[in-house]
Amino acid sequence: MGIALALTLLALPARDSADVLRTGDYSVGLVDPLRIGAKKNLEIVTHPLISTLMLSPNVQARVAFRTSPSEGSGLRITGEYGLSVPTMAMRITSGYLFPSWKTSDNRVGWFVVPSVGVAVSYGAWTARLDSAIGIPLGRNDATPLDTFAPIELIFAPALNGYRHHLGTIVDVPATDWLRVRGALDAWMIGPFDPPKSQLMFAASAGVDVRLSQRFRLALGGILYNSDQRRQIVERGDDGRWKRTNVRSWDVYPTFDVIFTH
Amino acid sequence: MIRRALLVWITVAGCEPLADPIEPDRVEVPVFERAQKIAPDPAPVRLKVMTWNIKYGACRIDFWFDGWGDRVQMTTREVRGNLDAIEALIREVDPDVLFANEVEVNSRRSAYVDMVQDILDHTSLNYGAYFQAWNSRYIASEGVGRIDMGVATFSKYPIVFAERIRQQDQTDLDFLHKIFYLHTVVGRARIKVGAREIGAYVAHVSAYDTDGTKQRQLSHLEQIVAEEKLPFVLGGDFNELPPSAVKIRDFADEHPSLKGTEFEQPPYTPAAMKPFFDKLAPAITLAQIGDTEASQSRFYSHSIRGPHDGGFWTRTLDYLFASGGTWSSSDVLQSPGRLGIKADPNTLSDHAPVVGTWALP
Repeated sequence: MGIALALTLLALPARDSADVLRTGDYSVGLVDPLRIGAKKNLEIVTHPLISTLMLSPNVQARVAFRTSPSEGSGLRITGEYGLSVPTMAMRITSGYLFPSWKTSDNRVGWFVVPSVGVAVSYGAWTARLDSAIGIPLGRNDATPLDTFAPIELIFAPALNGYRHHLGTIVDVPATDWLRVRGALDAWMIGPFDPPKSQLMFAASAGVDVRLSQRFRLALGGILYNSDQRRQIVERGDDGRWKRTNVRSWDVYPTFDVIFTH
Repeated sequence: MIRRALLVWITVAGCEPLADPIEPDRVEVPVFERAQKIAPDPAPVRLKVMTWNIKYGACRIDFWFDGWGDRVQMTTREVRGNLDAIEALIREVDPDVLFANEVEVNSRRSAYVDMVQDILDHTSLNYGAYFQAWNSRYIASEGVGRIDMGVATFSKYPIVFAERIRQQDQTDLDFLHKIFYLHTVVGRARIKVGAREIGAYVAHVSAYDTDGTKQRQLSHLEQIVAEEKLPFVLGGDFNELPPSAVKIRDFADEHPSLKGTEFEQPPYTPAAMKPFFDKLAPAITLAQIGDTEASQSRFYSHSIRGPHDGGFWTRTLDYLFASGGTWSSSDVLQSPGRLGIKADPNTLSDHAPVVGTWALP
């Protein structure tokens, strides 16, 4: 019991929990967003690279409703409220992810994407429920990408109308310089034409390693299961060959270096 | 280094390959069937054969690589309407054997419609062999997305064996194009027609290479059919002009914006088609084609521009040949009235169907 308490106090703090940063603290990673402890029980989150390089502003306010006297233990509840405008990211990738539409006036439309969610942590365990919807501002000619799950999820609120998410993470300290984490996630995104499964799932595992007092290295992998319109050819019950839809499995490595102040 | 890193990524990133290399060189392929067979003539002495590049069911929608438009994908409703019209013309012609080019079975741009099964379900053709030539999970050019395209042979008579024969790839492609771009295949089928068997070959030769690939593929195709022991028929989009072609460049339907792009039409080499006319029995002979632009224009089978832009057929690229025997009632279906059809093929694809009746040897 004593060892566990000491580990909790000395260890790297957990990520993606309901805890919010203390006022004046901040952290940022190559992939992990910039998090700023703006004031007591309020954390502001943004992806600066997406905001600047992709010209797509995004911000999230995390408001702690219930905190615990000792960080990383007890019950904590935080509300998460976001707003983003993904249009320029979609326009910048025209020619690759989206058409360039050189001879017509078709275009990627303007969207605002509000989101709302709640994170509940108890000890090293966190559950999160969140939802984002895409509100079109005028005409849009872009359609859902039907592609790899991470890309599909990013643009789903704008292109499919909505993205609902339910996830759970266990993030435990193994030593004072190492954390081990595992997560399960499920998403439901808006409809496709022609219809296909709107459900996506992911399982991930990884470690956070303390590199110095300020830096940590995050390594891991994530396995996605989604419907990317893959088909196989097989014999049906009547003996005839037929095409059958099957779900896709994709594994991606995850890597990040995160600075914390 | 970049190439190695990409190969590692391709290997580990997904359980489904990012792109199918379309290997090995020869592989048997499944034969799809109509649910309820329509009985053909049990002892035919001739076969009506049709070859048609159906432009993935796009009819005359101008796609971005044509230069005249910028469409990248069609809606389910558009593809359904287009296929209804394409299949109506197939039903009008009612061929015993149909060679089809640019058939798609699971492509984003054609709303994932399985055109092989669709054609089987909506015509009197009972069997269909699909020879996949392009299978990539995601084509990043213009957001094309997933693509599964190939050539197909359909028949009223049982296809007892079908195999895909790989052709040489272009050598003038960059690393990414080599992985993700279209490959070229020949589809070989053995069809049991009454008491005998015939060979049936469908081809779609490279269009945009600048390194002589098309000429090598045509030569390879010539070798493949030369090895055939059965009487056979060969059809498809050869992407080459007949050896006697009078007009061989500066076609009005080529959009100026394609100059200098990968979709600029390379110079044609009509002499590459001479061996086929010399060694095989063409459905439309060089004598019929004639030696003037006026006579040859009657057999033009391709135009990038459709009728909505005032376009009409500008060159001959599609052919039917047989190993021997004679052809009758052969024509290029350029417009309503040809061979008695009511449909207007110029609204249905950027290629016109070629039809002939082959007297079985």
